[in-house]
Parts: sequence; C-alpha cells; structure tokens
Amino acid sequence: MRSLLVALLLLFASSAYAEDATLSATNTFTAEVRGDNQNGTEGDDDYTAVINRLTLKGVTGALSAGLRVDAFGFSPSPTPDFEDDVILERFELRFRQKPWTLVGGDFYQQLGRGIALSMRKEDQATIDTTLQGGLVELKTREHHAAVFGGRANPANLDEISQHFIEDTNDVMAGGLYDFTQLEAFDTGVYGVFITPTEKLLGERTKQHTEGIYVDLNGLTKHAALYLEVDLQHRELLGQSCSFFEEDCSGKAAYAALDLSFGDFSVLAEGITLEAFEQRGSRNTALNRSFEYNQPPTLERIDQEVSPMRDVQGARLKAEVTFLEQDLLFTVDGVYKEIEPDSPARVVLMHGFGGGEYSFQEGRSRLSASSGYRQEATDKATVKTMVHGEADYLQWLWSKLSLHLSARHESRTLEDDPFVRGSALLGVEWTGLGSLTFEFGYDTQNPSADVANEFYAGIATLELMDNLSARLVGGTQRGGLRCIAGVCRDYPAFSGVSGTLVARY
Amino acid sequence: MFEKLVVSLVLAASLWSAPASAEEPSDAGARKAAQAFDADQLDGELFEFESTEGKVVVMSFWASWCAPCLQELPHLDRMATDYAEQGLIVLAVNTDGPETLSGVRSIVNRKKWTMPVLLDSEGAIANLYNPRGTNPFIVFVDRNGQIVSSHEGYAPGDEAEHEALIKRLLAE
Repeated sequence: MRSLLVALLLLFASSAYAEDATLSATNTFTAEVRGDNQNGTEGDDDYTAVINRLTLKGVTGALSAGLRVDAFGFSPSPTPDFEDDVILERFELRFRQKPWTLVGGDFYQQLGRGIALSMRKEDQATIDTTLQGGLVELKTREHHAAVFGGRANPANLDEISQHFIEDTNDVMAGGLYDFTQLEAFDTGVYGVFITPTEKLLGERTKQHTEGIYVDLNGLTKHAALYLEVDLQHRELLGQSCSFFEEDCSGKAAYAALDLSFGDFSVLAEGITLEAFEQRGSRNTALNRSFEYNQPPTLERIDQEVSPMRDVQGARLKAEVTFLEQDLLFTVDGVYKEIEPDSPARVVLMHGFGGGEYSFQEGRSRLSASSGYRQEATDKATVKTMVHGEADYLQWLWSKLSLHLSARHESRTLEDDPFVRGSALLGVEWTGLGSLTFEFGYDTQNPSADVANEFYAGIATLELMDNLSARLVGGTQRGGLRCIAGVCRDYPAFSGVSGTLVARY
Repeated sequence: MFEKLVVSLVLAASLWSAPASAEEPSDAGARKAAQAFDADQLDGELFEFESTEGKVVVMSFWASWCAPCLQELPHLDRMATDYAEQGLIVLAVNTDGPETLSGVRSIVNRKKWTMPVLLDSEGAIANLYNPRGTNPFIVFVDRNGQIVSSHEGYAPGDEAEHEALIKRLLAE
C-alpha cells in the first residue's frame, strides 16, 4: 500500500505542477455470464465474472510513472480458487537521462534468447510476470550494461482458469553487458541469480545461470548468425553437490542461421538443453512451478510443446517468393528428441508446408498449409496429427471485407483417434467492427455429458477511436492450447462475454 | 470488497467519456507526451527516439505470427517511403518472444521493408505505448512528440484512414 501511495503521489503531483506533464489511461472491463460448459468437470460452471484492469501513465520530461490496478469478482464463486480482490498489480517510476535509465517498481527483463531468463508479458499465452525491484541501465551505440534485482511479481489473476495466483516473492538479481562493434558484431555476457521462496526437500534453494552470446547480424548482406551458450548451477535443499554433478547443473546451447538470397531464404536452428530449468516457487493456480525462462521451441507458435528441460533438436525452414513477394511458398521441418538420454525418450517430427497469395494491392489474401506431426517413444507412437489450415480474406468494396478461416486436425493419442477443428466466417467493416460466426468441434471425449460441437457469435465494435467493444455469445471449445511454447488447458466456454476497452 | 470493486469500476467508467474520433485527431491540448526510449534494431544499430524530433512518427507493433500485422505493414512501409521527405518515420516494433524471434529476419528480408525494425522482445516499448500488448497496434505521434491517436487491429481499408491522418499531421 505504501508503494501505491508513493506512485500515485508522484504521478499526480507531476501532472499537477509540471506544465509539460500528461496523463494517459487504458482500461479493459470484462463481464461474463458463464453457464455449464459441458466439459465433464465441476468447478468452472454457472457463475458471473467481472474483471477490470486500469493502467495509468504519467509523463513529465525525463520522469514517468505508471500503475495498474486489477479488480475482479465472481458471483457465486464456484470454488475457493476464485477470489474477489482489488490489487495494485503494477507500479513503475522511470527516469531517463541519456545514456542512463533508472527504473523502480515493475519491469520486464530478458537475457539472450530467453533461455536463461524471460520475464515478459505474452498476452496470447496469458503470461505476465514482472520483476518488482530496481533496474539501472546504460545504453550507448557500442555499450549496453544493466544491473537489476527484485522479486518475481506474477499477475494475481490467471486469465484462463480465472483462479487466484498467490505472489511467490522469489528473489532475483542479475546483470548483463553487451558490446556492439561496427553494427555487425554484437556480443554479450549475462548472469542471473534466483532464490525461490518455497523450499521443498530435493528441490533447488537457489540457482545461478551465466550465459554468453554472439550475434553476427550483418557480416554479409545475405547471412546472419546467432550463437548462445548458458551454464547453470543449482543448490538443492538437504544435498550438497559440485558444479559438475548432474542433479545440480544445467547446460544449454542455441544457434540460428539466416540465409537470404533475393526471393529465397533459409532459416536453420538448433538447440540443446541438458537438465536446464529456471523454475521458481509453485504457481497456486496451476499447481506447478513458475518457469522464468522461455527457450526457443523451434516450433510453430501454436504447437503442443513438451517441457523444454532436456531437449535436443533442429529445424530447417525455407521460403521462396514470386510475383514481387505477393506469392509465397514455405516448407518447414522440425526434429526433436525430448529427454534423449532417458528410457522415456520421445522423438518428435513435424513437417509442414503451404502457400500465401496477396492480391488487390495487399487488401486480400489467401493462405493454406498442411502437415504431419508425430511423437513416438522407442516402443510406441504416442501422438500423431495430420493438420490443414486455410485463411481467406476478401476485400469486397470500400470498407467491407469477408473473412473465412478454418483449421482441421486428425489426431491419435496412444492409438485413439479423434478430430478437432474450427471454422470462422466473418464480415469486417473498417472503422465500425466485425461480425463473426464460429463453429468448433472436438471428438476426443465421447462421453454423453461432454460437448463435441460448439457454436458462437463474436461481434467487435469500434465505438469511438478510444473506445471499442467485443461481445461473444455461445459455446467455444476448450482443451489444450499452446501458444509460444506455453501450453494450457483452456476450459470450454459457454455463456456470454463482453469486453470494453477505453483509452484516454 | 464489493465496494472496492464498485469504486474501481466507477473510476474506469469515467474514462469512457473521453473525446476524439478516428477521423478527427484530438486537439493539440489533449495530446499526450510520447516517452523516449532506445531500442536495438534488427540490423544491430541502436535506435534513439530523440532522432525523430520534429518528425511525424508512426509506431506499428507486430509479430511474425500475426497475419493482420503482415497485411498492414507493407502499406506502412510504402507510406514511409512516399512521405519520408515530408518528415514521416515509420517504426515497425517487433514483439516476437524468444520462441519465435528467429523468424523475424526472413520476413523483413523477404518483404524488402526499408523502415526501421525495432526489437522489443521483452516488451519495454510495449509497456510504454501498448499496455494491453495487442498486435497489430498502431500509434501516431505528431511533430511535437505528442501522441495523437492509437488503433488496435487491422482490417482492409484501415490503411486509407491511416494515410489520411498522416497527411494531416504532416501538414500541421
């Protein structure tokens, strides 16, 4: 509460007394009435939810301040996991005097390609954990250095399950130094130290990770290369072990090579993670540890990705364009071994390809892709998937366009076949909004009390430049969805949901 | 508890009386100061916001997996070229996380964009201008470094409205 008062005082004092001060706000208000989603589980049906998120920013010269207040309530609360609260979720004071930046409060921090640390906001995957503490940063054309420290501060409302997440207060501190030479050669070193608050027997009590990277982003006109190596040491409660013992150490390496020759380009990536993890205390909404890193997955953003702890893999992607970049063809292949040295080793292969055509001066487009994915142990095939996707946007005239999108997956899970997919048909009117009909299906669970078909209507409205609304009514399929390497089990939706977004 | 929620909602509701429309940029007095920042560009160069002083700036937040973004950006790149001499700078602020960042370069090369592509993987720029973290999201800044308007999403035809607004700002 003290931090709230300090932040508010500075924010509004600056607005009141400084001539050049401005205050801006973004507010997102959501109201939902949820019925029985027929997913075969109790505890997520028949309730009303009201969620509001208010972000305020004040700027005066070199000083800025920001805060975010989250308010949420549920009636009736389906389980004790749903809590009503009003929380000062974020606050930030920022002072910038080139080449220095000082931040006190909440900030996001990433090291390298996210293998060592990735504290960031990823709305698509509903990830939002900041570091609440202090940051001192120096940035010039050649040198970039920073030191930071604080506690992990996850957003307390899990937006998928709508369950409450307790703060972990895991402590972190670290730093980085990056040197750029001739704008083509960039190299950096960094380190981070983490102490989870939760102490469990056999689990780590503190861990430190160091890394180095080299980014050759302009050596030639046609090639770019990125290399990164990370080492980690963990101390376990009730055990002592040296740096080289397997239980206490982790290793990681990542490389990406981009080649581009006119209309043809190739991307090659490889990664190896050996007992590498950056786990914190338990996430009370998910009943598993927070993960403070997000390594490259080598996968398409929507794929079901296995935990990135013990993985070896590679990916090759090629693209070629025609008709002055209006026509694109892509092929992509991924090979990964999960827990490669374990009897439970899983081999993953995924190959897919497709094309995209833009026409009517880029106002219309047609894209389609398909592929095959398989995960198998030494003894059996665990999962297979044949998938196809299509997206067609046709500009009709003036401000009106038609949008058709469909995807289908024929899957097997331990030899049990099922299909899953969705189709959306919508009309969009620029400056006014859109109206979309969604049909979804999922036959994985054939139980009579579980829905297999889903129908929903979605309307978006641009009421004013600074006020927009989104309404959803009907049913939408849930299940495991993965975005950016983060997989979550979404509850199916049944009911009505309305969101208003205001900016001022 | 419920009273707290009501107070919060009333505070939020007060924001919805805000003026301005897409067609009419807000009055100069109502514009908000744009916050300065430094960011790494895709080509390794450092971008300093101060270098845009006296120019109209358009910031477009995008990601490699965002289809509407990839449809909108070619229009913005074309405007960046067409209106460069009149003082327009378009910044393509990439928000890809580490898991998809490797795909950004090939898109930029393939599309042959000439506008600066800023890397905002950890969301520092988004935190200043795009707190909801949505893609695509576009911000217009006038020659005095004041935010004129912002817009979430892209539908065919939006580019014409964006261009009209850019012309007005360049003429101010």
